[in-house]
Amino acid sequence: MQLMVLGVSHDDAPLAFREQVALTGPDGDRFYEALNPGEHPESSGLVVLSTCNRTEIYWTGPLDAGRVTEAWAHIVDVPAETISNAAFLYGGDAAIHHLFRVAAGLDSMMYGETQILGQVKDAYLDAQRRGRVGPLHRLFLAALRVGKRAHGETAISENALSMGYAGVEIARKVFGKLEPLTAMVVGAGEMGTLVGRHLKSAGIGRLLVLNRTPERARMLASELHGEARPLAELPSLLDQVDLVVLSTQAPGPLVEEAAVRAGIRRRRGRPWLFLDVSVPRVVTPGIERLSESVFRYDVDDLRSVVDVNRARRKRAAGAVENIIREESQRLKRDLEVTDVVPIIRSLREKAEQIRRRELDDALRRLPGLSSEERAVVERTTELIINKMLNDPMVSIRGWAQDPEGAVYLDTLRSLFRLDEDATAPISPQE
Amino acid sequence: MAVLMEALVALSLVVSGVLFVESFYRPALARPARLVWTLAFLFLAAELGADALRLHGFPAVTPHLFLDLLVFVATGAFLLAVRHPGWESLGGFLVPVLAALWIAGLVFPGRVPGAVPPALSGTWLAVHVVLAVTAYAAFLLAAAAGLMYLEKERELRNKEPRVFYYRLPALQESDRCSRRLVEAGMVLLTLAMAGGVYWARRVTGVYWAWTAKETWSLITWGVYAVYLAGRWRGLGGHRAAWLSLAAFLFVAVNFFGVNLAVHGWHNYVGSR
Repeated sequence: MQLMVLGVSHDDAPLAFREQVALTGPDGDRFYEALNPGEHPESSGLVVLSTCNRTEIYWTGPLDAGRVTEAWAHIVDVPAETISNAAFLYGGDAAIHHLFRVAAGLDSMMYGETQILGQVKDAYLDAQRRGRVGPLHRLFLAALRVGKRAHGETAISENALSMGYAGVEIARKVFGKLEPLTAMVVGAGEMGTLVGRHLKSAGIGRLLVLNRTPERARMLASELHGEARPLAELPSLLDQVDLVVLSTQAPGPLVEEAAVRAGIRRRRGRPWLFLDVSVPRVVTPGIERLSESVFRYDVDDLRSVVDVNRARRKRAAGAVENIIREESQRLKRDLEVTDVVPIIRSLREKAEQIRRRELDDALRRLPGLSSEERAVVERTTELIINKMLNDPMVSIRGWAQDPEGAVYLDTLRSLFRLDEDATAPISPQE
Repeated sequence: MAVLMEALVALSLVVSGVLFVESFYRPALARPARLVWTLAFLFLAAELGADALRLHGFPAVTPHLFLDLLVFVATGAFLLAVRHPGWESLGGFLVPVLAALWIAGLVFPGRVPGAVPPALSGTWLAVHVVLAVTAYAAFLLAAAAGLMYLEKERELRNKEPRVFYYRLPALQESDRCSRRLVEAGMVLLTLAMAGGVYWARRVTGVYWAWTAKETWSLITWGVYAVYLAGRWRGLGGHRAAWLSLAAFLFVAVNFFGVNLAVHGWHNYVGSR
């Protein structure tokens, strides 16, 4: 059983092309339909992972890359050569490795992000609903496990990669819980909105929104369940808030040294954090030197924090690769061990069937046997079968660990014509 | 047997100290660090239990045994603290100090105490010592939390996230924790001193003799009283963290300086 993956991702295909070849919605339905497995649904598996950054097709069984490409090209109405030129194709270990990297977020644009793991899970569940996962069942469960372990055991998904989120993270490092705090967002532009949303979802206690045009302040305030205030109130509100986010295009400074100096006294040593994401800056640099409890971050500071965060995630990649290696080995072990069990069972069943049939036949032709004699004959046939099968069984179990084992099993299967019942049973449950 | 036990305690303390420091960089090591640390706790408990059996009484009648008890109590307190998310990092600050303290304690007199004079036995001694030890442990943990505050604050102010930025609890959390520990330590120290005064009256006939130990304890109490008075008046953050470190120096002098340099009956068995 060889796993294959054919796909297009953000690494080598621009957004416009990715949109064109996406297999979402009805296109996905048609694709699954086009590659209908026909008579052998249990020996072929097909899972389509289609997100805004990638469309990847995982399969195993009788399909080949040519057929998959053609079906894909036909449905999205793009020449097959265009797809095969832009797509990557991996088989076997490389395909497993690729899926595991994707699940852990190592292949994402936002290095180490966690969203893709949910998308891999959705793709798997979608294929399961269609009854098409087949032998890929274990592979996808292993991939989900890799993603979960990578996020839980390494720093791959820790620490913000965007400036807006980095600001919230710094607030957490200073204050701990944000619930008892009051924050003020000055400027209802794009960045102010973004940081406001992050603060809200991080559980900020009270949020004030100030803007030059009151209408926009009201709009943002109602979205974030905050309070809109006129910009003129900034000086009087300043020392009541623990966290000030400034994202305006004001030409001159809005927070100056004198105001901060007065505020420090009134705040009695409680930390005070200024996130000044305006360009030009509107918080006078150097106010943080007035007291150890004042912290000021501007755009460049936030950017350098994000850079360090990104480098930290990259450093965690080694640990994630170790997890991937461990889980690949585990997966292979699982697949191999379960691969030999059904063949052993069907070989035994076949022998038993033959024994039973011939024995019944013989006993019918020998009606004069006493019950002891019948028992001896029956016991003899059992012994012949068991002794005959003993060495093959030992060898088959040994093949579970043999890299060539799959080939031997195939040979065995055709030698004894075990094809009909030798497929591993696949449970559709997670 | 005693030597083997001491070797086990020293080894587990040093190993877990190294693991805790290393776990700042490799978080996966936090688990083994905690495991070895729990072992150290059990070894210490076994050693104290053996001492108690040998002495037929409370095992804190020599400076060495007192240190054992201090490290034991601090270890136990830390094992409770690591249950809170983010506080595992306390180990990187606390455990190396405790390991050094305990190993330094091996040079103290009284590893094998002789006969115990009547003044150093009985329930009052146990109460007095347990209260004092727990107070010291609380002050030690408060100082460690203060140090954590300062390290994290430095990286936040420099805007250069290194390791403490990521691994230590939030500034306000360290600040709050340090304050609570000093408050608890102060209650315990006050009770220990009151108990000591009562006990001294019964044993020696006077409440307070102005020995070096008594005087220095009073000074230590005064320093922490200043800290708390400052806290009630709004002192916090950076300055409070420094003060918690400075105040612990008085505890250290109280124990090392006064016990080793000055002799008196307060200085346990075997230190004469």
